[in-house]
Amino acid sequence: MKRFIKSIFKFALLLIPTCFIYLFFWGFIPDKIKSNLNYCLGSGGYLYARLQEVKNFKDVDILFLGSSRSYRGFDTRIFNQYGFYSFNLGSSSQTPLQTKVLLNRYLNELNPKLIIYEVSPEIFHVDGVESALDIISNDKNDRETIDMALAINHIKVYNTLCYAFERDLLHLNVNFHQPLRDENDAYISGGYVERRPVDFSNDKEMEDLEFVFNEKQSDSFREIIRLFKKQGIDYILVYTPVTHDSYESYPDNEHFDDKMQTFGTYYNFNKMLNLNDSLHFYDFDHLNQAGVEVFNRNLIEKIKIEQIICEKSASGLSIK
Amino acid sequence: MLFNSIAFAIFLPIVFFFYWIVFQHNLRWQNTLLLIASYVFYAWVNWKILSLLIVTTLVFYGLGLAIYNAAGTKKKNRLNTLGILFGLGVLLYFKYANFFITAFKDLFEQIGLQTNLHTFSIIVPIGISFYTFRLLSYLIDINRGKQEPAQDIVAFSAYVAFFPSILAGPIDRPQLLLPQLQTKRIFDYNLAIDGCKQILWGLFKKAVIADNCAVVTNFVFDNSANLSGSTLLLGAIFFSFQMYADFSGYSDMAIGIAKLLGFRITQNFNYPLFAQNIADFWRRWHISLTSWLTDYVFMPLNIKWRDWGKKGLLSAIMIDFIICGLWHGANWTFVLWGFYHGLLFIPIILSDKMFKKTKIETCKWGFPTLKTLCRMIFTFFLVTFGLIFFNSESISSAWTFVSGIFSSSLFIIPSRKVLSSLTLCVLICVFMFIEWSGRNNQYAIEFLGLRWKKFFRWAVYMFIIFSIFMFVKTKETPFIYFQF
Repeated sequence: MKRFIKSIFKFALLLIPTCFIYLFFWGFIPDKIKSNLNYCLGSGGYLYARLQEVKNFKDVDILFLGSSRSYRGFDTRIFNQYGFYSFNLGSSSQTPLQTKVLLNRYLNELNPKLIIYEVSPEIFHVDGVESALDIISNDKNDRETIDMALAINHIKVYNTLCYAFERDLLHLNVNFHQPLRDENDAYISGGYVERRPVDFSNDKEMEDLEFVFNEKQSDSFREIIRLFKKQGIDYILVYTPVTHDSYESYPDNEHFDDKMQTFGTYYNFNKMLNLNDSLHFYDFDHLNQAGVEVFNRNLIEKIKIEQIICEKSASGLSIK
Repeated sequence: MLFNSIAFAIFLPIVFFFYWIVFQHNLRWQNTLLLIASYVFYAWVNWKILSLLIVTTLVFYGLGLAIYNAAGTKKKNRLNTLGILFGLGVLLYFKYANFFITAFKDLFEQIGLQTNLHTFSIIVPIGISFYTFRLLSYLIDINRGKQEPAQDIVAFSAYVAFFPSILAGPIDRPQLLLPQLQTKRIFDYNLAIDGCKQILWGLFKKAVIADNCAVVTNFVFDNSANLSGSTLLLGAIFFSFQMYADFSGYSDMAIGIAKLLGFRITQNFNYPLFAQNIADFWRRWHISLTSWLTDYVFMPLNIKWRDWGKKGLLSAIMIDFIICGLWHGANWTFVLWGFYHGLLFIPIILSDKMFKKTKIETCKWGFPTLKTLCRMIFTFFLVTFGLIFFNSESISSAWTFVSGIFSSSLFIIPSRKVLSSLTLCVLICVFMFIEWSGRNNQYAIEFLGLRWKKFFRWAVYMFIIFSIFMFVKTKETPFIYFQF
């Protein structure tokens, strides 16, 4: 018996470093075969470039948070035209679990006067794996990331986190440089990603989705709102425009609106704007540049009318 | 409780610790612990089903003693019949009542008679087919004089509820497991290590092969009406691999866990994907069920009808396989699946190859000869065709699936979702290579690397564990045979 327990113990002890060695080599095999390892350094959402740039931004007027609808929906150049110094900290499929991590890391430095937080039923519905992988691959990894991984509790997240730790330890990302353009997108300083003019593509089949609030996401969202309030930062919640089909795929939008309104100022631009799928969108969920122009200017006017923000003065953005 | 769950990963070490370290020198305590652990394991999902298991166990325990002590064959037979009727009655009520009610209702409605029959709201206790068959063989064997009744109720109950095999087999005979439960067990290092390896291989089959195949097969079987013939064919092929990896993976884990506790239980699979004809397949697939049906259904019928010659043999085979199909579930698809396998035996019976054992011929490179390979592939496709009925919800959906395969769309490029499963194809190839290399052993990695240095051997085991982490699906997926 002693021999057996000793063998098992020895095996278990050796298993951890050996798996780390295998994991390192596993990182070199083609992505299609990797399966539960999804390290996406320099991913399509330009999070790597955004997080390299965020270090140069301080004391911004407006900070944008949210999913790809945020970094593809809030054009910092338009806000700059109105005199608002802004940064977009959106990331692919960002859910409150990831927003919390990013805020803990960058909020103090960015020190925004106003936060525009893109919300939709989807961010409360999904498990947050996709966004977690994005952050693990493109940002530093610390205790915050481990807590996030534990909250998500998904094998892909654990594997990718271990692999990311290895890469960090071996400084494998030191010479990485993400090109700021590819055939479809261009990264704009300030965190916005502009899609080149393309025709509207509706190849995704929309399914009616049951609207379920994921407890962990809801808790994180409440924590985020508490953080804003604690730090005295004004915030507004915005449901950005999506195509009619995408919007209707959540049958309980009214309930969602009611719920969001309990957290503070909330605008549902799907009700406030009447956009055209083929003129203002490039896919079901994302605005094209023409749509972004319409949406952003409407948003700015709205928050000016509501006197949430006023024109920039010499002393900076004035908040009501 | 699932073997591939976190709960079981905690449960097993606790049982192991108390079983071997705390109660090592006390057989009665070991058996009591085994019984409690088995009941906890069984009742994990739904404690209500435990009462049926306990009642059935007590009834069969009493009947076993009563048959043994009864004076005269007539009384013994009467008690035996009573026990069989009770066992089958429980099985029929819990598993088949609604099936037969619906079948009668449909039949009456087809001849224009209105009925007032209503189906029951019954929870089907998982593993009921497995433990009922175990109990039936116990009783029949006592009546046949092959088995002495268990005196120790704890050991007997532990035999019935033995947690490694209660949910999905193997269906252990009393002659194998009961004596082991009544004998003092000494920890065997080599057996325990062997068990660990077999658990590991079973987990690999389930987590890496079966669950990854399930992604494709669920998509194909759920959308069979809208997919091309080529996609359906690939889906059916993947399902064969899934079915084998899932069920044999479970059996490997069950046998491995039993070895950890010092028991040797029935081997349930012997590389059925390398079978060269359908008789050979059934000698290798779900061996414990096949041998059970052979002993208690086929042989008595065959003996009874021996005067009819091949007709008798054929009739016995057909009934045997229809029962085999029905055992799997209360659905006409299973009956048809059993009937189909019975039909496949006709050419074998007519050519007198029924009991002829086939040998796997290999070329000098160690791979099967072309002739052997062709036989294997042919048998594989016969089995795959049958599994379409096995995995379909109804005969009409099975028919849609089959007619979809045999349509002109068989020659168009399969769906992107199925074609993109490149990883799965690589995994299946690696898996089949390992299975082929280890085909002469109880399980494929039994002797893998035994001649190598420990360092390399352990590196291989660790790579298997690593690959489970790399390919496992996050959601715990139940084993297919749990539904039976």
